[in-house]
Order: sequence, then C-alpha cells, then structure tokens
Amino acid sequence: MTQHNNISIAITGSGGSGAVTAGLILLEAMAQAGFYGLMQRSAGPQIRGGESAVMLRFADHELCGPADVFDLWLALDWLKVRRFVDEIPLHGGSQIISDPMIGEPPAEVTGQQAAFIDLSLKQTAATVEGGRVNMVGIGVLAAMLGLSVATMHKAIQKTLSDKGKAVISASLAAIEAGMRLVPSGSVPLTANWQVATGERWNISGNEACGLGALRGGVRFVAAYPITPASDMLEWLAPNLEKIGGTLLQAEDELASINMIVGASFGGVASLTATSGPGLSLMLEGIGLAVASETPITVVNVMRGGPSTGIPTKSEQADLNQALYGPHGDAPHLVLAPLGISDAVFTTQWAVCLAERLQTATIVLSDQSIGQARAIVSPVPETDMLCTRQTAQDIDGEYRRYTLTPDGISPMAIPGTPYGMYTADGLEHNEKGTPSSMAADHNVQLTKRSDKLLQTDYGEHWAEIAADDEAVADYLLLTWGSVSGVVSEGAGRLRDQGYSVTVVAVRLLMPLPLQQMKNALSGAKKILVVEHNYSAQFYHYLMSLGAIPQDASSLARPGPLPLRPGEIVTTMTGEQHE
Amino acid sequence: MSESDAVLIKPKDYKTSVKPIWCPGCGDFAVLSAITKALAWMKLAKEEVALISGIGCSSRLPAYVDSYGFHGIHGRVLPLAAGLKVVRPELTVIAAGGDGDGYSIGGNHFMHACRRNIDMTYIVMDNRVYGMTKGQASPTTAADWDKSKLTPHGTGVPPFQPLSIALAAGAGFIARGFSGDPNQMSKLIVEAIEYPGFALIEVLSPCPTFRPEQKEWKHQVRQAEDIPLHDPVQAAEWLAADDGMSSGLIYHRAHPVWQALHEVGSTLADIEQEFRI
Amino acid sequence: MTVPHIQSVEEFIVHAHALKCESEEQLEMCADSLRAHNNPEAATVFRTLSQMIGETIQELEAMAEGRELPQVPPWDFHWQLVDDPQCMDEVHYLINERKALELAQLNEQRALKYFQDTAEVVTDQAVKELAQRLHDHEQRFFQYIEQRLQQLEEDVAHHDDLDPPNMPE
Ligand SMILES: Cc1ncc(C[n+]2csc(CCOP(=O)(O)OP(=O)(O)O)c2C)c(N)n1
Ligand code: SF4
Repeated sequence: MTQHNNISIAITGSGGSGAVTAGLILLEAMAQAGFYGLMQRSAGPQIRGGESAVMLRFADHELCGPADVFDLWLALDWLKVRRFVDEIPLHGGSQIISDPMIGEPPAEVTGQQAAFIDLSLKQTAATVEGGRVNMVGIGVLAAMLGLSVATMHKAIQKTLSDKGKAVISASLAAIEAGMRLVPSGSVPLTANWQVATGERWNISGNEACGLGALRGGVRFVAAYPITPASDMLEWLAPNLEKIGGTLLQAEDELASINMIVGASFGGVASLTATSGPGLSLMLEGIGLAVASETPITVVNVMRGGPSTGIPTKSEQADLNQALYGPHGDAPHLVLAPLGISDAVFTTQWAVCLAERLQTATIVLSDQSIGQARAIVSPVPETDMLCTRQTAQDIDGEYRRYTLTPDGISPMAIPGTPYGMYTADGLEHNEKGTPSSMAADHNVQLTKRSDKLLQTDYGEHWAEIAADDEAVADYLLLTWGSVSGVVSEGAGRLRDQGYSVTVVAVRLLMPLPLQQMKNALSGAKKILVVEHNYSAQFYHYLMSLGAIPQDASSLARPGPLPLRPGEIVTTMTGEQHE
Repeated sequence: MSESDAVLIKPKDYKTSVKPIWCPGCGDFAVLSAITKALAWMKLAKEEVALISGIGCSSRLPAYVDSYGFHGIHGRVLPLAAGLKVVRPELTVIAAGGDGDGYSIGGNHFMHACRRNIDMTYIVMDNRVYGMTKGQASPTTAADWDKSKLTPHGTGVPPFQPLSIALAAGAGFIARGFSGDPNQMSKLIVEAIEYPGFALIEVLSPCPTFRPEQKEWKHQVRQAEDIPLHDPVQAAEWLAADDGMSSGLIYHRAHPVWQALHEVGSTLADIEQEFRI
Repeated sequence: MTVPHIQSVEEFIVHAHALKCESEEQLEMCADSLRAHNNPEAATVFRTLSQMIGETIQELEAMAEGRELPQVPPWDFHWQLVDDPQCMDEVHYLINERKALELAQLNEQRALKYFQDTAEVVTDQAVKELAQRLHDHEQRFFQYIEQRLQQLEEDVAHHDDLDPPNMPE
C-alpha cells in the first residue's frame, strides 16, 4: 500500500544562487541522518548562470519516483521562475520559503494556494563572512527537517570537500544561522520517521549504468559527449582507468559505435553511451554488430525528441528507434532500467546478454533516471553468466559463423592461432565469406534471430507486483523509468480498495510473449503507461498481439514527468464513464 | 636474424583461398601482393595481424589475407581499427580502403586518426573514383572529369589533397606508393608498420574499369629522390609543389603516440565504496 | 640490362625463388580473377602457366633445404633494375586465350632475361649452372606458349560487353 512518511521539496534559483549545490548538500545530509531520497534537476538553457531547479523527495523508505506535489519550496530568487512553475505543482498545504527582499513572486506563484514563510535569508547571510543565501536556506530546511548541526557538518564536508576550508566554514556558519531562523521547539517534519541503520548508497542513474557496465565486464568505452549521457562518461573515464580499462572520447558517434565494435572484435566487452541524436547516428554500426555477431552495448539516455528536441528533459520516445532502427532484419536486444538502482542490474544484464548472445544490446535509460541522484540501499552483485564463447585450440578449418544448436558460434579472438577469419557486415556463409546466396542468407538470418528467441531470459524480463487476488481489477503495464511512478499510483489504487497488478517490463526485445500472456491473464482492465506522445510501447505490444484489443493507453510526452496521481485518475476516471 | 629465420620468404602463405572479386588488372591486386610481401618479410604471426576495412572494391582486401580481419561499414574503417588497437596494443593493425571510403564518407575520421596518432598503418587505395558503385567521382577526382553520369560536367570541385591534409592534421608518417611497384610498396608498408603511430600510405591504384586512362600512371609515377622530409613546413611546401605522381616515404617525424593510461590496483569493490554514505 | 651481382648459389636461389614467386602470383591472380569473371578459357591459360612455374619454385625450395640463405627484402632484389614490363594491368576480363598467352609471355620475359644474363655474367660455376638450368625451364615455358599460340585461331575482336557494370555494394 502507499507508504507515507515522505516529503517533497523544490529549491529554485538563478545564476550563481547555488540551488543545485543546496540540493546536493541536503540530499547528503538526509542520507547521513538515515533517510532515503531522490533528487531530480531542471535547468534553463544557459551554460552558466541560468535558472535552475532541484526537485527533492525524502522518505524513510526507498523511493521510486517523484510525488504529485511539493510540500516545500525554497525560492532563492524569483528570476525566470516561470519556467519551472509547471514542474513544481503545489497543494493547499504547501509552504513557500522566501525572502521578501529578493523581490515579488510572479502571479503564477502567488495565484496558488500555498502559504508563504517569509524569512530574512539575505540579511542573515550577510551576518556571516562569506555567507550565502543558499546555505542559509539549507539551514532553514535542515532545521525544519530536524537535521542536527553535526549531520550538516558531515554533509558539508563530503559535498564541498574540494572547495577549501574557508568555503566550508562559511557555509557551515551560514547553515547554522539559517537553522536559527526556525523557532526552536517546532516539531521536525521527520519526527515519526524510521531511521535506517543499514548501509545506503548515494548514486546517480548514470553512475548506476556505469557501475552495471563495469560489473558486466565492460573494459572499453568510446563515446561522444551528449546531454544527458555525458556524466555517465565522466564517471566511467576515471573508474575504467582504475581497473585497467579505457575510455576514448571519439570524434563523433559514428566513430564511437565503430570503435566499440572494433574493441569487442578484439575480445573486450565494450559499450558506448549516448542520447537520441547519437543513437540515430549509430544505427548503421549497430547493424554491423548484429550482422557480424560482435557483442556491444549501447546505453541510450533518452531526452525529449525529435531532432535536438529538449535535451535536458526526459521522455521515453526513442523506443521505436531502439526496436526498429537498424535497417534490414537485425535482431538485437532492447532493455530498459526500471529506476536508478535497477540501472545497475539492467546494464549489467544487458552487457552479459550481449556477450553471451554475441549481439547488440540497447539499454533505454532516460534523463529522469540518468541525471537523478538517489539515496538507495546498496545494489548487491548479481550472479550472471557474462562470458563470451570463444574458440580455442582450433584444429581443422575454423568457421566463425558455424551453425550450432543454440545459434551461438564460438568466436576466435585475434591472437588465437588458426582462428583467422574476416568478420563481415556483408551477408556471409558459415566461414564468414561474403555470400548473396538465398540459402546462406536464410540460414544466417535464422541463426541470428533464433539465438535470441531460444534463450530463456528467466524471471528478469519484468518486475511483476500482484495482489493476492486471483484476478486483478487493474493491470498497469509499463516499462523503464516510469515504472516507479506507476508503482506508486498502483499503491494508491490499492488504498482505494482495488486489486492492482503492475507489470514493469525490463526486456523489451525480444519480448517473452508467453510470460507476458501469463502475467496479463485474467486482468479486467489493462492500461499501458509510457512517457511519449505516440504510445510507442502500446503499439508495439499491439503489433505483437501481446495485449488484448481493449487494453488502453496512457501516453504523455515530456517535458513534464508523469506523476502517480495521473495513473490513479486515468484508471478511476475511466471507470466512472 | 636467427638461423631458423633463414628461410625463403613465401608471401603466398599469407593469402587465403578466397578469390578476389576485383576486375582483372585492378591495381588493388598489387596492394594485396605488397601487403603479403611485407608480412612475410617481417615474419609476423598471422594471428597477430588484423586487417580492417570499410566498404568499396578496395575494402574487400581483408578476406584475401590470411590474418584476422574485419570488413566493416562504409567510411568507418579507422574507428573500427582504433577500437581494436586500443584494447589489443600488441596486435599489428592495418586499416585499408578506398579514397571514397577514407576521404569522403570517412573524412572526419581520417583527420582525427591523423591527430590521435594511434599506432596503426592506413593504406588508401586511391583510384580517384568510386569503383564499387560504378564509377562516380570521388574526393580525389579532378574537377573536370566528366565521365560519370552523376557529374556530367565534372564535379567542378578541386580535388581533396589527402597528404597535405594528413600533414596539417598531425600525421607523422606520410607516404605514397604505386600499384605498379609492389616491391617499393612493400617497403613502405614495412616502414609504416614499424613506425610508432599513425602511418598513412596513399597508393595510386588504378581502376582500369572506370578510369582506363590510369593505365598511363606507370609512365607518370616516379620515385621521389629528395625525401623523406622531417620538417612539417618543408613537407607542406613539397606537397604543395608536387603533382601527385611522386612516390616514396615523403614525411617522417616522431609524434607522441596515443596510449591508454591505466592506474591499475583498484578493484570494483573499491570503486563501489565511493557510493557509500 | 644491369648485370646482377650474384655471388653465391644461396644468393641466387633466394633471387630466383622470389622472382618465380612473383611470376606465379601474377599468373595466379590473373587466373583467379578471370575465373571470378567467368572467363574459364583465359583463366585456364594462366592457371596452367602458374602451375608450371610452381614446379620451378618447388625445385628451388628443395634446393634451399639445409642451406644458410641470405635474407633479401622484396625491395632489394636486383632485377628491380630491369625494365619491368608491368603487363598484368592489360588483362581485361574478356580477353581471349591468345591474348592471355601473349600477356603471360610478356610477363615472363623478365625472368627469362634475368636467368640468361646471370648465366652469362656470373663467375661462380655453380650459380652459372643453376642459372642455365632455370633458363632452360623458362624456355620450356615459352615453348609451351608458342605451341598453344600456333594451335589457336587468329585473333578476333573482343572486349565487348553489352551489359553495363554492376553495383555490388
Ligand atoms: C553508408 C553507405 N553509403 C553508400 C554506400 C555505397 N558505396 C559502397 S562503396 C562506395 C564507394 C567506394 O569507393 P571507394 O571507397 O573509393 O572504393 P573503391 O570501390 O573505389 O575501391 C559507396 C558509395 C554504402 N555501402 N554505405
Ligand atoms: S571497379 Fe575498379 S577499383 Fe573496382 S575492382 Fe574493378 S578495377 Fe578495381
């Protein structure tokens, strides 16, 4: 059922106000205090000095997505705040903390029901040497949340460790001054929250993908920077180096995809990360990996599209391209992480499957996962078979694309005596020699397709959360990042007395149809939820006959995130029709 | 050389049984011959050599050499080869392809490979035409060549100057070979393989099918005498004055080679520690 | 023609072997490529001739057994100085048998001349004998070509293909 004990806080401010730093400090402080959290970001188009917003949510349990509304809003200034008004929905009990001295809030804000808490943030900051408004603001929030000075010390030390002593002590002084603005004796917002005792991690979705890649054995990454994938690369570059791997910044995505194909041909598990525009450029290379049966993994951190689209906002609109992008019949795998923690598992699984099945795997993460940071339980190592079948001790003629019962042909890695062959994107025979014969084409097409279809992907293809009821009233079918929001919506529906099943699909292609049918069987009402305009997932499922004709669709594009309430009203609203 | 090395060189051993689809008389045959001669002379273990190519007549070459090979996609030979070399630095990596593959669709990679300077050899079989797609103009085709239906009045565009561009982009080994002289070419290939860094060998390799007039090249190409040059300014002047028909190692200069840096010693568990609260 | 400075049998074996390997390769490439281009008659000419050369190569390789051979890189062979006929780029995919034989003849001139000159010029008796023997081999090769040419009809026009070229990729 719905878990309470959570609070949502927005912090906004323009150039130099330090809203993002404030968010990071608060996230770390709440983690230190034994809670869980989630931080998402939104920013204007400026490189520096632009307006930015951080959306925080804290709880005493692991969170899977944003809430419907914000309880607190710390406004460091009101410049260009209109940009974010849509992204910060409020409710009657919401409180807006600001300083009248920073100016008048715009009508879009004052028009809402929320109450204002006016505090002299600016003046307070001025009382501290080097004091800044954002730190005073954090102090206010910290006091309201019941965080101790000691906790704030730890959080500051950790977050600002590279900023030097003076900054740290000024920040601490300002935070403490801010804490004093909150009347002592007020009841902390986290008063009856449970404090976690176990270990927790502070990790971003992009870092989680990176970690999953390393766990899967990736030791070579080539990539071209693109928002919102770049910080995965920034995390991977130094960490790959530490364990003997390499990251190469390529001249473009055409290069990066071909570099990883080359590296994988050399026997090293390889990956690239990009976003929609980059994925478009990579399609021909992905097809090459499929045809030449060279394992690669492509993490696509989706952003709003088409074209350059909305680079800093999330959308699940690259599904069609991931499924159908490469020309020709090019069977490959498409997976999607169901949240930040799950990005570790899903990326690792993707790499392992690519290696095992000698094919291309596309991982569809998105901005809402990639650029979000969360406090989560540590993600345990999962045992998976990640090894590529290689050809060793070759005697006699080596046939690179030899037919085997499972369609997987042992791959000779350069350096292996007597294994010399030429990998080819041209259709070929079992030896690898180019061939345009119908028989060879048929055999190789079937081989490449069957090796994926014959694999038993086990239970990981989806996360299924069902009630005890034999038949669910509602079945919510979804994929990727919005799974968290859907789960939270399902919880609320359960609170209202409905029995609800959530099927969150992690393996999108090939979709295990029989398992899907089992999971869906008997559901009275099916809603397919996704974050794009044209209901790509819904149509994909329809085309496969995976869902009944009367299944309905909730498909909404970005830039605004889906929220749990939307799921509830879609379901119950429709029911009253 | 040790005694056991004292055997006859048999370039033929480095050929596969796959028969070239090249037109009889195609200059690319001589490149194949030069490569196998170079490999045989250097006595490289076949499994330690990888020939990487793109798409085009010339890019069919890897299948004919008994080494590891990758016949990739059009224009992407250099990144494909770079990825391999970075993870397997002990291999001898040779990239090969045509002028269309390397200078047109792959032009960006060409410049960046020159400046990145990963240790590999790049052989461009320049026939100043797209052979595989039936004789359209390539970047190195003369502006007034009007034999292609696609450009009935010629391209009107001055030809690409691969060697000058390579020099400007930072390549440290620039050579020109000729199909009519596979032995000299094999020398250039040996030197290129031995050169630490990105080594470009542009080969004048006639396409008798679409550019029959290139048969005349054998009367036009000459070995240049005043090379190799080591100074980039001199080399730039030399190249600017050259008519494109001089062969030999033109420019040779040491540049820092791109190398992956590792500070091994950590484990994945150490890295995961950093996420802990 | 430049006089080859061959000093020893070993040195000569290496030269002769490389030279014959090159001839064989040329002829084989022609044979392969004509086979690939569906011209079996001309392909057979080149194949037969390359096999004849292959026999000489085998003989040289047998002779090399157990000898300490000098290592000469491909670009240092002395016949480089000989005016290279470079005829193989004349091989059109529709050539007839006669033309194929003529081209092979032209291609082999170089070896013939090389062995002849060596036999004449060198002082080392063993080398002289070997050069003479290889020269005799060449003669047989040429005799074969002559015979075949005599059996063939006069040349007729060729090189006509009504189909346009293909665009395979
Ligand atoms: C992306 C892509 N575009 C176009 C082609 C068609 N194509 C194949 S080879 C080629 C040009 C080949 O010319 P070049 O690289 O000079 O090689 P050559 O055939 O002359 O040796 C083209 C345009 C292709 N295979 N892929
Ligand atoms: S078309 Fe030209 S380049 Fe291609 S194989 Fe024939 S001769 Fe060579």
